[in-house]
Amino acid sequence: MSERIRSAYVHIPFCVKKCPYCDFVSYANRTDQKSAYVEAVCKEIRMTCSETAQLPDEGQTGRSEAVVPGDAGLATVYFGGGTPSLLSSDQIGIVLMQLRESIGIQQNAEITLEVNPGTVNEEDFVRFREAGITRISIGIQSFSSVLLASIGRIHTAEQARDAVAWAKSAGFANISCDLMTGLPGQTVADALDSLDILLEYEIPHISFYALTLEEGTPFFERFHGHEEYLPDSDSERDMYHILLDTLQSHGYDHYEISNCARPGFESRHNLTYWKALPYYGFGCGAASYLHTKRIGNTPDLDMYLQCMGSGKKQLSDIRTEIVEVDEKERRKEFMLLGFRLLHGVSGQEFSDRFNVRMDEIFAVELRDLADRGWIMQEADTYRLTLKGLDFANIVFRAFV
Amino acid sequence: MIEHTGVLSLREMHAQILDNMDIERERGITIKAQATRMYYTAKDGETYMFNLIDTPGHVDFNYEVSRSLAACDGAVLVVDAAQGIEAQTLANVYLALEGNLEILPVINKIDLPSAQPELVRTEIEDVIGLDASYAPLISAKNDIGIDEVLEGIVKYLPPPNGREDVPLKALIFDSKYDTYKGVIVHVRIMEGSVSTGDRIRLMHTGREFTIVELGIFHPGEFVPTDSLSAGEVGYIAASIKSVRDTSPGDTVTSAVNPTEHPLPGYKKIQQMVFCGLYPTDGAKYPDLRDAIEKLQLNDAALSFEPETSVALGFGFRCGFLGLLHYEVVQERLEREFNLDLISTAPSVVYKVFTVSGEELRMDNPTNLPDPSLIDWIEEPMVRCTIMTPKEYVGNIMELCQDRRGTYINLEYMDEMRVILHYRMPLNEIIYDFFDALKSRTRGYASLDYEVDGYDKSDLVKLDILLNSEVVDALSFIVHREKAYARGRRMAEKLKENIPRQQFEIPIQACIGGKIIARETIKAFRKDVIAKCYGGDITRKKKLLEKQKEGKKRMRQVGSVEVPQDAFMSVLRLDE
Repeated sequence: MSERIRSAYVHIPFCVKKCPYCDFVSYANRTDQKSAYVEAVCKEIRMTCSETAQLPDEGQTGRSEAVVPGDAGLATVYFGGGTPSLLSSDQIGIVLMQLRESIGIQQNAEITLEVNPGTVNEEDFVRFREAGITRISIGIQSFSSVLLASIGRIHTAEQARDAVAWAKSAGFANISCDLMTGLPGQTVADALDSLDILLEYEIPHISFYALTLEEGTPFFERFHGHEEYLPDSDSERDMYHILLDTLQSHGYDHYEISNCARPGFESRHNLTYWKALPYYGFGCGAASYLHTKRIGNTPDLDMYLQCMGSGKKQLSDIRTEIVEVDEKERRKEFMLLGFRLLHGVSGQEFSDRFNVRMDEIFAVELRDLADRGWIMQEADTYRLTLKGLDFANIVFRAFV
Repeated sequence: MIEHTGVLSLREMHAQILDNMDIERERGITIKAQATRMYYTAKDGETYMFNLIDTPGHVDFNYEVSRSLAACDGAVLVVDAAQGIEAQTLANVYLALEGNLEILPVINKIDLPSAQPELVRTEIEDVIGLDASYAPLISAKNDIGIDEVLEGIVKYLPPPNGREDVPLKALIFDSKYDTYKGVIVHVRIMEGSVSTGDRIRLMHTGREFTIVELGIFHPGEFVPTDSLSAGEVGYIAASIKSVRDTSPGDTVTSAVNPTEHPLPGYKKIQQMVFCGLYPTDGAKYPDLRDAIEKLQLNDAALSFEPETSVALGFGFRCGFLGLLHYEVVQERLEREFNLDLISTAPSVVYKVFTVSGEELRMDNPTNLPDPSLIDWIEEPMVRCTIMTPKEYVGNIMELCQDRRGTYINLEYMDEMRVILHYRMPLNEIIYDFFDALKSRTRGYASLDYEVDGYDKSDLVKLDILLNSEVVDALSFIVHREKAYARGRRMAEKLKENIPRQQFEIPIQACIGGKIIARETIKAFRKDVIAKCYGGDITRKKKLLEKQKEGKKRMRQVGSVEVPQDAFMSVLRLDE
């Protein structure tokens, strides 16, 4: 891979309580292991970094640039979970210190922390900011306490409002909030009410996700085959489109299927994923994309702690899933992920990266999808049509 | 027997050794007759050579049985000690008697707790009329009484009596296609002998070939030998390239010194059930043609001719002996030739009398003339023989009544079991009658049937419309009184099996333009992965790949994507 790795994801697999719809790697009642975990993550960062430095063709992303200021080092860091706001600001500081030392972090880097409103007080936001966090992403989901309870969230609508207000008062300009659609019992009015509150607070980045029944979750058990207890796809789409229209009319740019931002406030970290660029992933259950491999770390917290705790272990011990991504697959991923972006996939970017023309490699797929009205072409760029937004999987399936 | 005569060691043995198709082992049945040879040193000190052909029992395969019997001098009739005589036992005994074969009855499964060997012995004598006093009582599974069977064969079955010093006369009872050797014919040498290098003639087609290899059967393999002579069963490979050059029942003779009269051969097979078979992927049509041709070589009872469907494109109209035969063929085509198939509803052959005085034979509902041109329609009837423990008689009568059967009579086999005779339309039997019968009698009833002419009947064509377009592949002919229930059930089944699409899809069942049932598949409004971040990419890609794979098993019918399963589901309305 010729691109330097500019992004790092850090997974924090602790929660006060697991949400019944969530299938991310996380453990409830294990918060006593936080400090051991922070140590383990730091160790993984050190090991990954020396591994990278030893690869001759990857020398440029190695340790040597750690001390170089300016545009060297990481452009984005993302603490995701789980509930990363369960970490103390000191613990976050330790991880950032390690990243700075091993890889380097750019001066104006975007450093995001996901926050659960049920885990923080006013003071925490100030401290997170002091620790180096530049962006806060708050899992609001809804401002209806009834809906929050029905999806098993640990916070109330009031706590959600407080979190937003405290983030602002602590001086964070770059704030993102998540909303959910298609929740059991939710109406279009419910969804709009929640958005209105975020608009009042002038939150510059808003994500809005349809509830998805993921296999292995309690919600899957409860609702799979009983979808009649959830809003049907008609009303879920109504929610989605009314949120989207409202956001656009308030000057937000719809830049990804489920994301809107005021100009300049797009998530730089998440753009890394959608542009199919490489990234580090540290922690139990974290995913990384390094040296043409997509790697999944073990979701087993004990195993992770054990492997990163003792002396002679290797990174391969925690990497339980490794998928090789060859040139052909990379081209497809570029399309598959790129079409999530409303700006679409650019022929220029494609040929810069792969030295072949996008409209030659995917001539048949692009023509067919355009003929059927799922995508449209503008100069050398293809992107989803409005109709294609609701059926984007049809577009994605052309590239798997 | 295979184990006892040392053909295979205990280590090589497993259950159902001769049933080498997966389907046979899964269903625990025999579909294809299999030949094998064994040597047995009897109590008289002599060593005997046995050529054994293991045959199927089910009524659908009795053509396979009669072909095998024609190659034999005697038959071992295996009767289940717990089930007793079944309807097909009787049918197969009659086939053997027609061929003038000596029959050695054997009572198997005496180890079962429900076994009643002595009762069964009486039954064989009373119902079939065979002397069963010397019938060995055995358990093939537990290796009890096998030597008695082998002794019985020596003692009671006649040895082959064909002469070796006359011109070659060999009966082709089966054949198989091999990529390297071409068509391999399975033969019973009736008279004369034949050796590698001999020039042979197939008397029916007149084609001549030089023998490259011949030999005998060993379980699961061919063992080459130098020659075969009168009485032996074996195979001949003679670089026969075309499947059409051989046909079971044909006589093989010497090209140099031919026999004057061919063997009588087999009577023409009467296919009873017809349906269209289509590749799920239209581009696989040539593969399907190739597969059917090769399969037919191994299954002479299968007939086929090209057919086109508006909904399904190019395919074949295939004829089968019965529904089990149809299922087996479809499964073999899918497994052995790696094809995905869609089948139209099975149909029987109707006689259609037009107002202009013509008589048409119709095995495809799509070709049925407009009702205004039809004077009347006749449907094929069968006489069913059902054997059952007497406590199920009520259930069976109810079932037969429901399937438009006419009661003929009831006979007592013994105190426990009865034989029911019904006259029924064949089209009521071909779908799921056998399954329904088994489920209403806890598996105890057995069925056999024979054709019994045609009856005039009030039949209509039922069409299914998807999104207002007739799907020709789903049309079928049904009795008017059953059309409503059937149409409603089909529409429901299709609704269950066709996934929601980007538009609303009405499903209608119609008789001559009149809608008798309707269901609606609601449109779905989204197909989009909402969330895809760093940790999701590999997983979401797998999900999309799986969906894409599923789409390949869909057939575009007009504007609607119909999964293969949906076509199949309407064939099993009772489930």
